[in-house]
Amino acid sequence: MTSPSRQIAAMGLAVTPPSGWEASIYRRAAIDGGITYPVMHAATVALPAVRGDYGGGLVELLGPDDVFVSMLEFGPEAAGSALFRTLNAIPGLTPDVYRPRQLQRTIRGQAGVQRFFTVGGRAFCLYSVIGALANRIPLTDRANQLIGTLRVGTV
Amino acid sequence: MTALVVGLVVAVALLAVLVAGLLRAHAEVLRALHQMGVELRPGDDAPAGARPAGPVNVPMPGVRPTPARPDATDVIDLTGATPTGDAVSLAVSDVGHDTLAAFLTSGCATCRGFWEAFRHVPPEVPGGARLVVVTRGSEAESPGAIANLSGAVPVVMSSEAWEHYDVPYAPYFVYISGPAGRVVGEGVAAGWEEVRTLVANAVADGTTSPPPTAGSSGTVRGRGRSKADQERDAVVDRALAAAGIEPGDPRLYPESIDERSTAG
Repeated sequence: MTSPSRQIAAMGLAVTPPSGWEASIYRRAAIDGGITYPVMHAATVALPAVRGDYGGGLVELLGPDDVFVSMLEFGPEAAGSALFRTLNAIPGLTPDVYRPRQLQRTIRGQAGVQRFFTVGGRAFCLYSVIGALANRIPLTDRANQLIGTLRVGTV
Repeated sequence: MTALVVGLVVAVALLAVLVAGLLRAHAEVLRALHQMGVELRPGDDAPAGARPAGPVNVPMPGVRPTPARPDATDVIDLTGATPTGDAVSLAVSDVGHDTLAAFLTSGCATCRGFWEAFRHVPPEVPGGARLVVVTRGSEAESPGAIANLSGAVPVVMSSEAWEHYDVPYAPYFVYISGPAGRVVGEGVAAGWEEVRTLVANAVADGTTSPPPTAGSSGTVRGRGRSKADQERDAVVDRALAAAGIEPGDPRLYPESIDERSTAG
């Protein structure tokens, strides 16, 4: 039996992980007076306690049927930049956008994608990794199931 | 004199009403027990010599599920907050790994031993289950106090999980099979070594690996696949086999889409 999905929300972000997904919304502690911003992680593998914002320490665990999705907020100054202005909604993904060269860390067989967008004056990067490029069609579907539950509100 | 008689009559009447009420309540208790299948005097209908002596037997209909969770497959993911305020949802079903949920509080004396055991290094769980500490939410526990106690084991603060798993007291442990999506063991223990031994025995007995529940695909990887998808997979597999492409063929794993296009 699959357990019913439950939404988690923090720092103006919300996600409802589908069955079999794990998710976390966190913000790293600021160092030397710097400012940090919220990050959402979701994956079809157990989230390791120690992992990088772009999935370092997690993507190594992905099997050929697994997916990782991260949504990282950038500062308010980024919201006005050309890179983030292109899209004004959380983007869905298509299988053809996953490329091995878009990985933050190249792992044989895996593929990744990055999209930049602005919602409600907040700038984000959506980053996703699939465990096997060969399975990109069903894995993109899985990624979109998760992405479709993402919500951005006010902090 | 008349007043004394009247008073006595009133007192006797009140006592009679009280006794009648007690007898009625007793009868209702007996009736309720009878409806539950419990007979306090099972030999009452039999001849006096045939009545069994000794303690009364109360039938127990199989393993008792906890009252609020009558179905072992009624599991929910561990969803809540971390002591540092992050939102988190840890999957316990429809996944390849098992989960050992340790329901602890910041106040109970027995829990302190577990907090200490979990502080520096994640303890090894026999069978490789993932250990997760679950406390009540911030309305019942201080996140700061939990943060001070927590260490190497992930902590989820969730009163919802406590209520859903019908945790009677702390410390309490619930072992959930991820592939089967069901609770396969639960109970209380005084120390981590005792828990570890119980889980090790259960793993050795195979009770932590129940067969998949009816209706499941039997494999985690098959989760969520519709019949149409499975039929489409079969068609694709047959077409690939006809073209001489078997599972593991390197042509199925191109380094890039460009490579696939040029190869094809």
